[in-house]
Amino acid sequence: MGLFHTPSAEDRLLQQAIQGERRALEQLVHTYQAMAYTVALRVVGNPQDAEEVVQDAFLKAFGALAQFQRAAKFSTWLYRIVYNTALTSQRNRPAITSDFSESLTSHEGTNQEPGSWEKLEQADRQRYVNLALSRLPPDDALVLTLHYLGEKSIAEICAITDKKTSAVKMQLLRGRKQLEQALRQLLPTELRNL
Amino acid sequence: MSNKRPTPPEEAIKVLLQEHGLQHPSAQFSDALTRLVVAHYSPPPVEAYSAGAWLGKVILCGLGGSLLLLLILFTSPTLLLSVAGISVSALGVGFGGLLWLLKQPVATRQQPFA
Repeated sequence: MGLFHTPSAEDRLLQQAIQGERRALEQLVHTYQAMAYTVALRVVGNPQDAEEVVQDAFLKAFGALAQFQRAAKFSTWLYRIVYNTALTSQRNRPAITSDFSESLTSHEGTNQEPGSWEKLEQADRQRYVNLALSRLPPDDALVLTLHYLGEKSIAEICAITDKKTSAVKMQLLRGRKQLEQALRQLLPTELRNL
Repeated sequence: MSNKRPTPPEEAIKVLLQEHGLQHPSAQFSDALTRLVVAHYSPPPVEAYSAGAWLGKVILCGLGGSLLLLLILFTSPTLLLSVAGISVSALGVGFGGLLWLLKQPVATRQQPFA
């Protein structure tokens, strides 16, 4: 083990971004925006609010970038800000009665270019995966998303959501079982083939 | 026939989520967000180099000390003696004055009703 810590590519990128380099800032935004949007969507439930949350959270996070202590990964720190902003936004907003899965599918539909059969099939699978996730309790879906999609450890999920380890483990186990059941109904072939 | 339920296909769920679970914001939003973040970002002000101030003080002290030493070395002994004489006499006068001042309250306290 070396005596000195060699900075990783992310450390260098962060350093460049802190110094105000445009390309580094753009790269950071591009790298993390999709996952941040997914996290926000799991909490607030509709694309318009999720976009607003992501915008607020990114402005907050990048405004405080120089104060980032590097005690945690940048992504963990950023997703915590996104999660907290989403919770605040949800508390300040009246309850929305629209169906999350409907809003999800309609939003994706606008982005989808009609092309090959494969593209349609991919879009269908994506719709079903998100439909299966939307059937879970939002907290469970969020924990699953962070763990499998964001590749966050249980400790990191605890840091993001401010929950106890036992609670996160329980949500992960319960969510996985429920998602498996939902996927068996919606995508039986895909689940068997994988 | 075994009744044992198979373990949840964790790997399959992981693959499905990684391939199809990520939601992307609209391209228009993505561009606007990038522009907004870049436009709003201001790098932190550069901190003053505090080590420079200390270095300056050390250099000034060194120069002052060296000049004083040079002055002592190149001054004529008679002048040095006169300077030393004046210093010693000034010390004596100052010390005597201090003792006189210290004695004054004691003297007044001894005869308060005089």
